[in-house]
Amino acid sequence: MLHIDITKQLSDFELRIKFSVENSILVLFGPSGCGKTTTLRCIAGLEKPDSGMITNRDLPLYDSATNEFVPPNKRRVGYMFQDYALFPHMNVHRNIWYGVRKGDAKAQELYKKLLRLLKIDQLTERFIDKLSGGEKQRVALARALMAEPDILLLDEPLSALDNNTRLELQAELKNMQQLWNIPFVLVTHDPQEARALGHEVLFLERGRQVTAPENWECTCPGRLQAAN
Amino acid sequence: MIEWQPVVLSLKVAVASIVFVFAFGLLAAYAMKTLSFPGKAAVEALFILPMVLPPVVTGFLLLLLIGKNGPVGKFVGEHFATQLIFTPYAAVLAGAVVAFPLMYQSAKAAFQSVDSKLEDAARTLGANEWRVFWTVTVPLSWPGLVAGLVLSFSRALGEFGATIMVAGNIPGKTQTLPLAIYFAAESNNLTLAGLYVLIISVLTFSMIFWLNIWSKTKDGSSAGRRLF
Repeated sequence: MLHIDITKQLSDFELRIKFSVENSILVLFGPSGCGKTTTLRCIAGLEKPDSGMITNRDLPLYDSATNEFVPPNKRRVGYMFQDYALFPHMNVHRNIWYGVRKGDAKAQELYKKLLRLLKIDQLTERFIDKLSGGEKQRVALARALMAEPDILLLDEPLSALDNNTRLELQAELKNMQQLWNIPFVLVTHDPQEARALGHEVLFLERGRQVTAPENWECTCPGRLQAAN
Repeated sequence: MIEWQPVVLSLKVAVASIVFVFAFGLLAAYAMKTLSFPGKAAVEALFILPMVLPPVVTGFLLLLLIGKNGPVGKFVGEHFATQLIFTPYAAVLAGAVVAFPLMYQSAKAAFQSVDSKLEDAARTLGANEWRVFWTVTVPLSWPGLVAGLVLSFSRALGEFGATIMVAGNIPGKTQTLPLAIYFAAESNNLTLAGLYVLIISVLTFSMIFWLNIWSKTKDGSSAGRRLF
């Protein structure tokens, strides 16, 4: 279980966020600049909160009380960036293998499984500039999962895609989360995406957790729950 | 009859200089990009200083440092029973010091142009800073680094003022091409001076010409792709 309870001063307001997530998809939903991406960066260790603590499976990743800060390369927290951040000087194969710690038979098996599940087996020799938006998204997901993370963070993973590809990849993301059975924390400002993907949706506004908007329940399929 | 020794010595001195310039330039530029410490602006100004100081002033300062009574000169004399002053090593040092700012500036600009999200992605995939540097930052900065190499090589090849201060003009030992041109012209041997001028002009022109052609045909990712 990922547990986070932190504060961080941003330029216009203070981010104050607290939640737990266990092997499901939690969506951080809110307008641009409300602190969603900063929250993900703090979980990944790319930014340091001002105070509080972040734990995963009861192991501290950050704790201001004991001055504990695990660097990002030791956290086993996967991160899918908004524009995917695939390495342009490497082909798909090298991108996917970048985070592999031990290239043994198990890793080979996982690689083949990911290529098959994400339907990217024909792309392995291609360079990133020769991929479509949907293909990039799949490769980025494969790269993140190949590193066998304990948590996966996704920053607006579908925002750059056209509508058809988006719907297709929403289903794939849910499928991958069920197969991997690890917490996915997903950031979006798109209500349709939040409803379609989130087992739980947490609403953010200027760094604070707020209740769901009034019209949220009537448009939502009913399985969503607003955070406090 | 043309004497080739100054040409050969100049090439050797320039090659030896850029080995140091490349290593220290990269290190300094990456340190300045990633570290923040009090007095950083002053250190940076110090790095750039040899570019704006008259070379003869740089040479004078080096003379104070590596002369028989200078701190480095004394140390070398006591521990290695030799002297740096008026040797080809002094010419290498002079070339390296005046060429360093060009490599540093090019490397710094190149490193800053790398999308920091790619470096962050590498970190979340388990890469330590050393691996991020060699597998992401350097390959994607390659065009800027090559430009820095060519410019600093040309600068070291053409160095005159600082070289004459610390290496002198000993024909067959420390007389580099620019010194040979000066002393040939001074002794009214304009044919020899002209030939040397032609050689150094063709050398530097070819390098800059090649750099321009190369940088127009390669973007950062494809250049890194070819080399790494």
